[in-house]
This record gives sequence, C-alpha cells and structure tokens, in this order.
Amino acid sequence: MKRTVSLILSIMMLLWCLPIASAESDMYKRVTARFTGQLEQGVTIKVLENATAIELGYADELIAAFNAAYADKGIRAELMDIDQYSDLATDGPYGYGPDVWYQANDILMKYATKQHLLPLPVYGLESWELIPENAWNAYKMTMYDEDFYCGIPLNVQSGMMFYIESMLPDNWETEWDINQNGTPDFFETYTALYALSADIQQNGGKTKYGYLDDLVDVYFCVGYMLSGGAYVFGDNNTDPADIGLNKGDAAKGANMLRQWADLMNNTEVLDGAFASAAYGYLADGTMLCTVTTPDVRAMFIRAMVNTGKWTKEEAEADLKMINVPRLPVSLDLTADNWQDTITQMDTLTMQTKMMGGINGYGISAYTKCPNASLAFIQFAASYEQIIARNKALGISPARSDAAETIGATDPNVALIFSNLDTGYIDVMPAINEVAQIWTPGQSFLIDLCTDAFRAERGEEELYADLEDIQKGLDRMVQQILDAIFTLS
Amino acid sequence: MAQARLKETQAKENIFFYRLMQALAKIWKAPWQVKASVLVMGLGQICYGQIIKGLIYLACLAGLIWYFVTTGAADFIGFFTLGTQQEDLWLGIPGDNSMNMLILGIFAIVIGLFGILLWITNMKDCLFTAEEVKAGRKPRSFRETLRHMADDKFHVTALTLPMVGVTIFSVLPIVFMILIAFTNLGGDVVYPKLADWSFDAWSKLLNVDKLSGTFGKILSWNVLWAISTTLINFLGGLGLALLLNKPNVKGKKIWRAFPILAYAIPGFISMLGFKFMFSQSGPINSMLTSAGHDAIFFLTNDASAKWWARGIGLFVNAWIAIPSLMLMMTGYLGNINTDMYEAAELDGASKFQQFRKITLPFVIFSTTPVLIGQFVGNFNNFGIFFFMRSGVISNYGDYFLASDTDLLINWLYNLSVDNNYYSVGAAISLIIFMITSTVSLAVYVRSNAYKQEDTYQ
Repeated sequence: MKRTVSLILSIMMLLWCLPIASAESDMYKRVTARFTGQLEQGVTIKVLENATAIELGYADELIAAFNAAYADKGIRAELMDIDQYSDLATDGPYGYGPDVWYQANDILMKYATKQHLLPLPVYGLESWELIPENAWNAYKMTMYDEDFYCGIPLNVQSGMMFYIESMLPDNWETEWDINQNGTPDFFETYTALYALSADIQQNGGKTKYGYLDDLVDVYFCVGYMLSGGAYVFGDNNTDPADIGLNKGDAAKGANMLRQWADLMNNTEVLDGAFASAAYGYLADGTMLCTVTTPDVRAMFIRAMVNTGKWTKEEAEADLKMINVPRLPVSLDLTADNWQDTITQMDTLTMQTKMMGGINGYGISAYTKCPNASLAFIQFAASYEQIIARNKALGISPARSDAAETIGATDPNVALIFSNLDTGYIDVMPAINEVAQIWTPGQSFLIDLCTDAFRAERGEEELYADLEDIQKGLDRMVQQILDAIFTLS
Repeated sequence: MAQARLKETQAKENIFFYRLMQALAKIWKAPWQVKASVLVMGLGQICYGQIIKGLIYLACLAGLIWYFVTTGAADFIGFFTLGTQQEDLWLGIPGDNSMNMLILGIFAIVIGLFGILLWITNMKDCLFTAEEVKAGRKPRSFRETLRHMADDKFHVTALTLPMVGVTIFSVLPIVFMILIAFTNLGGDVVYPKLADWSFDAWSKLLNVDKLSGTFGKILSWNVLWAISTTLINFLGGLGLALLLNKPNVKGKKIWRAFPILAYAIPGFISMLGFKFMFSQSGPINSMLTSAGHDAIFFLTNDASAKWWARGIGLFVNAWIAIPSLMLMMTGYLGNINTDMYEAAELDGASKFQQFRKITLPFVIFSTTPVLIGQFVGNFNNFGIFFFMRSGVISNYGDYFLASDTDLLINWLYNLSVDNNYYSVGAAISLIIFMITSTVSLAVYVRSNAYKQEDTYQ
C-alpha cells in the first residue's frame, strides 16, 4: 500500500512538473537581478512566521537551525512579533516590516500585485522541480506581459475532517460500515454524517454532537457552494468583475449549511469564536468530528493531553485526520437514504470541493538583504525543514520528496495532493480583490444560518426556500462587487 | 446686527490695507539700512552695529536658502504635482511617492511661511532701530534685545516654542488629512502608483447612493449615540457620586473602590470581556439556555441584534466611563458651600429642589468643558464597536462596508484601513471634524462656564 502510494505520488509529481517552462527571459533576468548569489554580510533577516508555528515552538527551532547552519557565513535570522509591521504597503517603504514573510498565498499575493514582494528566481531553486505547478500558480502573477512567481509554496492548506478514534460510536463497525471497507460510513458521505449527527443528538452517544462546526467561516463553508458549481472569480480566478459565488447550484449548496444549522440547533456555530473552542470540544467529547486545516493538528493534540485522558503519544495515535466526506449529488443532505449514498456512492454522491490555500514564503521588495533572505527561504523550504515542520505542525508539504516520505506513513498527504491536482481543492485566488470576499461572505453565512432559529422565535424566516437563498447570494455578490468597484 | 458686523469687518479690512500701505510707505522713506534689510535679512541690523542679531538673521536666511535649494523648492513643486515618475520596485527604477510628496510639500510651505514671518520681523526690527537712531537714541545691544524679549515681549518668547510644537504635531497632520480628502489616493491608487489632486472623494460621498445612504444612517446613529452616552455617563457619574457622598453611607472608601477597579482595568480588556460574555458561546447565553430560554443574538449579524448590540455598546461605554466621572463629580460636590443647603432647607426647599437649584447648576457650570470633551470623545468612540462587533457588515438596509452599530469613525476605519479608500476616509474625517468642532464651540460659547468664566457659583 505504502509503495503504491509512493509510486502514484512520484508519477504525479513528475507529471505536474513537466509542463512548467523554465525559460529565463531578459525581463526575468532584469527583475531578479538583485539576487546575485552573494550573501550580504553582517545582516539579520527579519522573519514573520505564522502564529501556530510560533506558539508550538517550530518557528524558534527553524531560526535556531538556520543561525547554526549560517553561523560562519555572516548572516543570521530573527523572528518578528506576529503583529509587528505586517502591512508591507504602509510600513515597507519606510524601512519597516519583515524581510521574509510566511503567509497564505492570498495574503502574500495581495502585496505582490502591488510590487511589495519580490519576484523570485525560482528556476534556479532546488524546489522548482519538486513542487507541482498548481502550487506554484498560487504565487504566479503577470507583469510586463510575463509570468513571475512571488513566493515559494511550502504547504497545502485545505479543510480536513478531524475525529478521535476512541470516540467513535461503539456500534460503528456493525451499524455504520455497510460497505465493510473499514471506514465509518459517516465519514464517507455527508448524508450519512447528517444521519449519524441526528441520531446522536436524539438518542445520545459518546459525544453530545456528531458533526459540529463553525458554519460562518467562508474559507471552509464556501466548499458547499463550489461543489454546486459556483466559483470565486471567473477566468481562472483572475477576473474580479466576474464573481461566481452565486452561480450554478450555489443556492442548493448554501441550503446544506442551513440544514446543518437546523440540525445542530446551537447558536455557537454562528460565531467565529467557535474555531478556537473546537479543539477543546473535540477533546472533551462535545462533538465527534469537525473540519479544519491540517496545520492545527497540534492544537487538538494539546487539547486532548490537557484533559488528562491521553498522553501525547496516545493522543497522536487516537486523533485522526481524513478527507472530508462526499456530498450528495442532489445537494440536499436529507434527500437520500444514507445507506443508499454508501451503496450507490458513485451515482448519488460526488467528491466535495474545498477552498484551499498554499502557504509559503515571500521576500519583501524593501529588504536590504535579498540574497540572505533567499538563503533563508531555501533553508526553510528544504527537505529536512519541511519534514520537521510536518512533525511539529502536521502540515501537508508542497515538495514532492517530502510529501513522498510523509505520504508513505500518512495517506492523507497523498490525498491532499490528489485533491489539489484534480481540482477538488480550489486554491484561493492570487489577486488583490480576494480580500473583499470574506466580510460580505461571513455576513451572509451568519444571516443564513441564523434563519434556523427565526421560526421558533416567531420571527419571519428570511431564507425559507432556494429562491430566498439565491437572493441572499446575489446580495452578497453585489456587496463584494460594491466593495471592489464602487470606490475604485 | 448683521449690518453692524459687516461694517466691523469692512473697518478691519480697511485698517489692514491702511497699515500695509503705511508700512510700505515707511520702508520707502526709511534709511538705506532698512532697504538693505529688505533685500538681505539681517544686513540692516549689521549696518546699525547690531552684529549678533544681524548674523542670526543672516544665518536663518542662509538656512532657508540652503533648505529650498537642496530640497524645499522640489518639495514645494512636488506638492502640486504629487509625483511625475512612478517607481518600479521590481526593476529598481526610482520614482515618487505621492504620500511623501504631500507631507514634504506641506512642510515646505510651512517653512516658507516661517521664512516670510521672519522676513517681516526682520524689517519691523530694522525700522524700529532706524526710528530709534532718528530720535537720537543708540540701537539696542544684543543684551538689551534679550532683556526686551524676556520682559516686554515675554509672551511671544514663551509661546514661540509651544506654537512650533503645535504646528508640527497637531496642525500639520490635520492639514495633511484635510488635503488627502482632495486627492484620489486609495483603492488602486496606492504606492507605488502616483496620486493626483481630485474632488472624486467628495463627489462619490455625495453622489454614490450606497455611500450617501450609509453615511446618513451612520450619522444619525452616531449623533444619537454621542448624546445618549454623554447623558448616561454624566448622570451615572453624578448619581454614583451623590450616592457615595451621602453621610449615612458606611464604608464609602470600599464602595468607591469598586468603580475605580472598573476604571483601572484597561478599556479594551473590559470590552473583550463583555464581548465574550454576550457571545453565542458566552456565559449569558449559556445561562439563558440552561434556564430554558432561547439564546439571544446579542452581537451577531442578525437584524434582531441591532438594538441589543447598540444597548450593550451603551452599557459597556457607561461601565468604562462612569467611574472617572464619579471621581470628578465627587471632587466638585465637595466644593459646594454647605451653607447654601442649610439656607435652602430653612427656606423649606425639598431635597429634589436643592438638587435642581444648587447641585445641578454648580456641577453643570463646572463640568461643561468636560462634557464637551466627553461628547467629542463619544462621537469618535472607535473602540467599543471595533472590539465588540468587528467584521460585521449588516445584510439589510444597504449598509456599505459597515454594520448597523458602526459609528462614523468605525466606517472611516473600514474604508481607509481595511479597504484602502484613503481619500473617502479623509473626507469623512473632515466631516466628523466639522461636526464635532461646530457643536463643541457652539455649546461652549453659549455655556455659563464660558460667559461667566470669572464667576464663582
């Protein structure tokens, strides 16, 4: 099995990398001219890492390892405070801000499109041929009629389902594995998960809820709409005038969120604060499963250990991360018999699309030490460091060799790569305007899911049918368009 | 009345032109030393033997010339162009930064105005010396000049430095903000792109329905909020102070310590605490659901949350502000002459009449400037709804990048910081400035605290 996974992964990597041209045009040489290869002497590279990496100690380990490796080369690195000068557009021109910045591709590209991040000499990097084209594209932008890459992809982010194996219902093997494939049926289709959640909430179980999640987080919830044929921006996520979040069967997709809100009957899921409470809720048995990104795996482990019921090793073994279940083709969680969705999986269900991101490193255009910064990025993106980052944070690497190593023991890594390749991970657009989708999107989701509580309070339901939901989606899209174009 | 004012203005203008003509005539008739000082600052003083003073003027002139030759003149021109060459950060092609050019341009104008002021003082000084000499007196020595500045002109000497500070740290940023409102900075036009002078922001604010509609809704809530919070905080502080001032209250120090604790805790900690308490997973909703009641949408983005959230905002603001007002009121109440209460009691006044006729007028007289400050502070109270309800855009009522609890200052933040619409944000801040300054001045000049400044009440 492991060998097969490794083989598939290797072939996939090879196929991904083939189409990428590595022509170095005159313009490419001009824009990357400051990367001479000569390390600036006596400089300290300021690195802005992400909060989880800092909290769990990996960021310090990385800096220490880099400083040890480059001690004799006259450069060193140091961490910046997470909130310190993180706006390159305003701080950068005055000499503040990081030299090297780790972030999701949408954030980095927001700055890159305004030239606040440098295009990198990617063709000469070791990781160029080891990282798939889809991941590189998350950092691609066109300027002077040519494509440039303003970041090095490190890890793939997308929603994954987390659960604790020992919390599974005792009868899952007899009652919830009708296809006898060793995987609980409720983790195979959302229809089955909905049925299990309803059963747990009505009849009780090891946990209070089956599936419980923040239903107002656009990043995770937009997957329901994307699976229904919606898209973020048209023309391969590059045309902000064409917003497709209300297109296709987006209303049906959004209606599934309302169905979940109806079932969960818990107003906590209408609040973004749920995300930080989710670690404890999974560990203390409030819920059986939830969806979040792989890089917070360590937070679940910590929450489990904090309950005193698990040691770290036990928690590592007991916590499982799997692909999100398949959605019903009908885009209705209650339309089909859940058993049918398992026995006729190919015809009644489809693979769920999720929004995803490619986290990586970029270099500030205002850095005084581009070569030292590039050296740091190369170090942090090296095979050894990616393996270390995976161990510390549970990330899913973008490098094929690291993915292959980790994939040999963790099939989810292969799965995430496969999802990225087959388009089931819709990578966040790399254009500036993506920043405008979050707030209107969240406002709509809160309004939509609040509807589950309106009727029982004697208030008028605002999203009683698909037509109303479609109007809500249209209004959300209009708000996004207004935010992008009204004042520009 | 209006005609009288018009005449007064015309008279003032006439005096100004008369004085200007008089000054020019004086210079025309003045000795050659004065004319030399007109041409070269300090030269006249040197010719009259006031060497040190003359050299100081000359040094200032040299400094001004050096500044304008090296950078000032370019900065001054840059103020009008806001840049001609766009920077290319990737190709390393240097260019202009419109924002910087605006700041440096304003600075160049201020330095220029300072130079003109210095030039006028130089001429006046030289004219004065010429008249002294004509009258047969010796020109002032440098020591005598210093003595004169420390004595007759002490007010000028003492106020010069604070004025320079106020100009640099208060006036310049305000001027900068005002001018931003007349550019197209923001949106797509941010560094390294070049900005230009434009009335776009005002035109959009007035003509784009979404903006003008949102502006009207937010402004009306903002006015209601500012008046309500000021009243609640004032009455709350006064009520608490009166309560704790009563002679029959035991353990006053302990009771006073509780509100002070609320005051001593940083405001944003209190706000975040209340945000958690009223959140969907917070203790208040938890208690409500445990008691069999439905959870209430206190702060979420639901139409029913509008007045809940506004009410919570008023409550949290009162929680933070009342203790400080209570302390202040306690101080004022201690200053009221108790004889007045005794006299009122002898005259048969009830407790409420004593409060209405003695306590309230005294407190209002003493606190009017503070109340104005409170009103302005509350009008621009950014923190409450930023911490309690950030990231919410109301789905009803066509709010543009705002929620139904946002004040103008929060909307300004959403537009200018979250969405980079700097010029529109600056235009809104200019409107806020006009509203608050007009209301503050109007209330202040009509208050007894201003009209009867020297009166003890």
